[in-house]
Amino acid sequence: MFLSSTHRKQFAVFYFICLTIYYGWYYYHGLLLHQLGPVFFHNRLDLTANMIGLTNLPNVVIDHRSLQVLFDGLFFLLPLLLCVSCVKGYRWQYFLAIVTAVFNLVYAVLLSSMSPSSIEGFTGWIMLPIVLIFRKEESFYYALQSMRYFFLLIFFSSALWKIRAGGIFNTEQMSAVLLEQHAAYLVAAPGDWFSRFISYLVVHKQLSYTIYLIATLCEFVFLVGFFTRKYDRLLMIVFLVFVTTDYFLMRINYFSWTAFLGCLWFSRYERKV
Amino acid sequence: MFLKQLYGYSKTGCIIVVTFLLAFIYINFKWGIVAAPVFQYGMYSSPVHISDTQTVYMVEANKKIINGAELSFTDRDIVQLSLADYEREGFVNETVYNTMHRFLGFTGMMDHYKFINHTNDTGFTKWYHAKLEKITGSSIDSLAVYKQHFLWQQNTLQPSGAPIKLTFIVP
Repeated sequence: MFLSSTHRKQFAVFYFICLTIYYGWYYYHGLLLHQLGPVFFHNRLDLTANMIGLTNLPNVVIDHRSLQVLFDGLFFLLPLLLCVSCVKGYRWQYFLAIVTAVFNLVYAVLLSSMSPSSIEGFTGWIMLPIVLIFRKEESFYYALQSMRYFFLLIFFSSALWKIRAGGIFNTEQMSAVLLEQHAAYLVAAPGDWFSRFISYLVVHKQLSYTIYLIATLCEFVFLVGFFTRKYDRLLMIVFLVFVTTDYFLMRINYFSWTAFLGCLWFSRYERKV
Repeated sequence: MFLKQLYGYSKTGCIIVVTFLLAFIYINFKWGIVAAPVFQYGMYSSPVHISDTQTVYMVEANKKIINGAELSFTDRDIVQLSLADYEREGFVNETVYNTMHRFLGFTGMMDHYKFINHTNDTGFTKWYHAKLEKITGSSIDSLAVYKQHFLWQQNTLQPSGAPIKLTFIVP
C-alpha cells in the first residue's frame, strides 16, 4: 500500500478534529487568552519565547483584549483553513501550513506564559502543520516519517530524563510526585475518595514506584519505533494508556499529543516513487 | 535507512531534519535553555521526597476558605498557580532577562521594559478577585490569601508553621 493524497487529507482532517476537541476543552475550562484576560506573564529560559519578547508582544497582548480575541480566533481558524485547503487541494496549502505552524508557536509561547498551561502540550499544534506543507506524495511521506521520529524522540527522551535526572532511582519518587501534584486537593478534602486513593499510593511507596517504573517503561518502548514500524499500532495503544492514566492520576491533560498518532497510523504506507 | 533515503530524495530536507534532531539532542544534553518547539521533556524526572515541604495557598473569600476539591482541576490550577506565578514573576522575569541578555543582547532590541510586567498588586488583586468570582459563581466582598506550608506526617498533610498572609492581595 502506498501513501496517497487521500491519506494526506485524512491526516489533515484528523489533525483538525483533535485540535477542535482540544480547543473545545480549553474553551469549556476558560483557558483561552480572552477568557483568562491575563494581567501578567512569566518568562522562562526559552530562546524562542525571548525572541518573541523582543517585539514586546506579551505586554501588547496583555494590554489589548481585541488582540487576545484575535489570537484565540486564529488558533482555531488557521487549522480550519489548512484542513479545508488540504481536502480541496488548494495551491496555498503550503503557505497556510507554514503560517499555522509559526502562529501556533507564537500562540503557545504567549498562552503558556500567561496561564497554568504547559507549553509542551502545544508541541503537536506547532509541529504537525509542517507535515501538511507538502502536496507531493513522496515529500509528504518523508515529512510524515520525520515527524514520526520526532514524536518517538519526545517519549524516548522522557524516559532518558528519568534515568539521567535520577527520578527512576528514587523509590519514593511517585509518592512524592503525587503529594506535590495534589497537595491542594489533599488539604481541601482529606476524606474524599480521590484524596484517600492518592494517600493510599503515597503511603504504599512500592506500589506507586511500580506505577512510575511502568510509566518510564512505556516511554522507553518508543525506542522500538526507531528500528521498525511494525509495532506502531501497539505504540499508539501504549500512548493512549499513558495519557489516560496521566489525566486520571496526575490531572494533567496531554491528550493534545493525540494528533501525533496520525504519524504512527499512516506510517505503514510506503512511499510512491 | 530513513535518513539515507531522505538524503537521496532531498538534501535540503535531510539537512533540516538532522539539524532539528541534533538541536533536540543538544538542548536536552545541555540541560538549560530551550528553544521552542524544541523542549526538554524531563517533567517529574528529578528526585523528590515525601519529606519535602508542600505549599498550598488558602484562599479566604467572604471569611470562608474556598474548598479546592470542589473545583475542576483546571480552576484549581488557576486559583493556586496564578498566585505562585505572580509571587515569583518579578524575580523570575528579572533572572531570565539577565540570562537571555547574553544571547539576544546583540540585537539591540532587548529593552528591559519588554521583559517585565507592568501590572501592580492592585491590578493583580482585581484580576484574581474577578477570576474567583467567576470560578465560584458568587460575588466576593472580602478576600484574603494565606500561604501555608505542609508536611506529610502520620499519613496526612499537617500544617507546618503559621499561615502567612499574602501582602500582594490588597483589600
